Amino acid sequence: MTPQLVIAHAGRAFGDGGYPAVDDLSLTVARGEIVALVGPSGCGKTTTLRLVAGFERPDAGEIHIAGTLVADAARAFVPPERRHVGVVFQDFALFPHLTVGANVGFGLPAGAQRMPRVRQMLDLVGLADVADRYPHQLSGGQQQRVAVARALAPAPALLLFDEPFSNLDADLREQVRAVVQTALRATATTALFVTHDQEEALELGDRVGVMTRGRIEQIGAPDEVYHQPTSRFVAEFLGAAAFLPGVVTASGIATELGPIVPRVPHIAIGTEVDVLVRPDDVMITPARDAGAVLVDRIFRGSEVRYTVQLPSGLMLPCSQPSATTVPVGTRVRVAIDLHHVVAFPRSGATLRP
Amino acid sequence: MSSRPRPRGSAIGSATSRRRHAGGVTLAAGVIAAIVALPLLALLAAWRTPAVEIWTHLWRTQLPGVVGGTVALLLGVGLGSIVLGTALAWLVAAYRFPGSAIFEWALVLPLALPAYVMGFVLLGVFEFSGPLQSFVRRTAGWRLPDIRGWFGVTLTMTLVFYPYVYVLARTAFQEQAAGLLDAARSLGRSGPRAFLAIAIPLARPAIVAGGALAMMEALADLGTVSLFGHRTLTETVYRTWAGMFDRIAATQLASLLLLGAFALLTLERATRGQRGFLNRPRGERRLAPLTLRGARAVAATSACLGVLAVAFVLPVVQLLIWAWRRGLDATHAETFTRLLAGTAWLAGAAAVVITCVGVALAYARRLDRSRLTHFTTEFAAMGYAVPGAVIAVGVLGPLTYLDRTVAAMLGAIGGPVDILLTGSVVGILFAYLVRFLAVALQGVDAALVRIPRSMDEAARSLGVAGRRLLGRVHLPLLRGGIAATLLLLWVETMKELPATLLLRPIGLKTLAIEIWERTSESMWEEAALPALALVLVGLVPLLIVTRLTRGSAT
Repeated sequence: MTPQLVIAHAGRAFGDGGYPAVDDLSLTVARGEIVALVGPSGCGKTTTLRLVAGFERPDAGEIHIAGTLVADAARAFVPPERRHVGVVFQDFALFPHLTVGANVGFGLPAGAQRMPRVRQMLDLVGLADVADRYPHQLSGGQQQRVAVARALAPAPALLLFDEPFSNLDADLREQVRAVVQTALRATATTALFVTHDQEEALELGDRVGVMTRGRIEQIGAPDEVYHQPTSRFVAEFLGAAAFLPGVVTASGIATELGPIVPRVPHIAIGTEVDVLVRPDDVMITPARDAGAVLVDRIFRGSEVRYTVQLPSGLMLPCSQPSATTVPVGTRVRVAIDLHHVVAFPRSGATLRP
Repeated sequence: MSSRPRPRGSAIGSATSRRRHAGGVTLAAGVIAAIVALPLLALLAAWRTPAVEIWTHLWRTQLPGVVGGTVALLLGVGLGSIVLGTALAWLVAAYRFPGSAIFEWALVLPLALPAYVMGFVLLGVFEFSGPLQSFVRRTAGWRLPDIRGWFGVTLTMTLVFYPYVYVLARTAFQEQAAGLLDAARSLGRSGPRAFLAIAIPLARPAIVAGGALAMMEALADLGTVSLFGHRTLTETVYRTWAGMFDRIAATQLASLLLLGAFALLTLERATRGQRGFLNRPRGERRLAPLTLRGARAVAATSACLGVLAVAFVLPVVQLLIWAWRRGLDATHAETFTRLLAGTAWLAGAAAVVITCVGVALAYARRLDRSRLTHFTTEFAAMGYAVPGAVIAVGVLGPLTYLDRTVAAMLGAIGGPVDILLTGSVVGILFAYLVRFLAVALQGVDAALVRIPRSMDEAARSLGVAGRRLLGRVHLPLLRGGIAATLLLLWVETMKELPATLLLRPIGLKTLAIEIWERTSESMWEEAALPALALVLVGLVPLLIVTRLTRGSAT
């Protein structure tokens, strides 16, 4: 089956000889798939989205939507109004002079089909009762859902989301996210999200692409990129991370906290490595004679986040159940329990674990 | 899904070649800008013809006096407006006292009076047989000094132009200085010391820009200076042209005036740029005023009341008295109605033309964000700094040339030879366009920037672009802004005097010209009714602007 979106070696630089916002980026999205691109601001994720939508033209590479070439570095360019791509904007961009119903029907051809389709779309996002209101009379979450209904109404080949939930309050975000996800699944719509929020990306995407400096550093299933990052950048961007120094031996990786098994087979024996440690990998047991000490405690509602100082001075984050009351200053014994061993050679080069 | 509508057209539009539609927009903007700039370029071209003799003559006869008079007027009006405008702005922004909420907007009202109306009212009041002189003579036996000359003009213009400074300075005080003034208060500095140390330096760009606007008005004025017999460049251009029919000398003088205008424009632009940096960050609150009590409250209220009385209430009352004394017989009523209709019609036509051009340029700027288009549109809008008399002289050159060419062509084919453009309404409309395009561009632009770009992009991603985007999204959203712009332009062109005077077709009369003609014969009572009409019309945009700024504040 033809993929719904193919980006091949796309590049886009701004200004005169400015550094590229998007640099040799390739991405394939299958029909019905939801892909989330995540990265820090300035990583090129929004430019990528705008290239796909047709608001920017690539300097290099090609973009295909549903098997049709829509842009390349030479002459081909299909303007946004003929790409059949829906966009949900960060500021929602609802037309203030039109009712909710007219907003949703904006991209539909006039005719008898229009009203039933509008109603169907509003039903889908649970807003059938506000069709006659104006956008300013709606809450932020409702506006967001109208924006999604409007973009979905013409049954686009592809739906793009630009930081769609960043304008919403945290509690509203969860709720709207669920509605959007349901709507996408119900319509089997192919979607590409860009966001700077790693939790959002992990929750939304069938696959998550982590971007930096205009490229996709790693792309894969959410748990894959979280548990098996292929670079320090990905490891650090997707959640709290610390690196425990060690040396690869025949039986495992020798570290300050004892051997870690299994050793990473790709890395030669004797190599100095850094082992990725996440807060939930670190176990602590209070013990009077232990060498490590708790130096910080942050209560975060659903968990308690400790900082443990090892005898070497290295700091490790440690997540404990919310009810834990062990005070700062307590000496603790530290154990590491890794489900996936991820290690990076000390030189900084990246290798698959 | 079975109910999915068929995608528009073919699934996805076929690849098209790279269209450079932006190129067309750039070109169109460039052409409009060139046409608008033509009169000014024509004036500059006058320097090509060496007119040493004329300059020598001008220098020997009148130039030193005229330049001196102009500079003296500019300094007087600039300083006067800055002092009065800044002081009032500070009072209203920093303090609460009886009436301060009303004064906040009412102190703008004098702007509704054209300077020449204010001028003739003052002249009428102060003249020997006038009410004030008679009163003083009867009670005290004194004779007040004559206010003709520099002092009278400066006083008049300060009273009507200080609102330019007042509005900008007030906003600067209220919005920009809020946090810093609070900081100063918490460090023990308040009142006048905080005003001098914090508020004035912060608001300086706004104050200087307001002063520059007031000086631009003073430089462009013809009616007031003529009334008071004060010699300025604008007045000399007019006299040289209309009185002595010396076109070359008038053109040379006009080009000199143009230099002065550009100097003021540079001043205003430079300070406007700085103002941007001091803009209040969104969401920060406004300055909280201190409440005045006792004698200080009385003093503040009296100061505002005094200015408002002299600059607005008394002139309007005096006009009403004169109009009442003149009475409204049948002929007077008929003349006045005809005058009103003619003025409204001409101004209406001008407003429509200028707004259309403004919409086109503002739209070009949105579609094509290149530096070239930005520069061209800014250039086209520079006319607001150029005196109407200069524009009139500049407009006549190209139009006369065009007339001659057309006449020669018609003559060659045996058609009637006549003046087509020079004596028609086209010349006036063209001059208005050059002078007021900035108003239109600013008005439409302000409405256009409130439509975020994502709105255009949303429409395009839904398959709506080009003319349909304009019709379905932009025009409905711009309606309010365009209406306000039309109204502003209508009022501005109604009040315009110098260009209208120089370019009007034979027989065309506007309210402004009627006032000019009557007051030059000291017939105050005859001029009162047209003047009242202009004041009334002039109040409309002030009320709109006040409402708009209030709306944005909440």
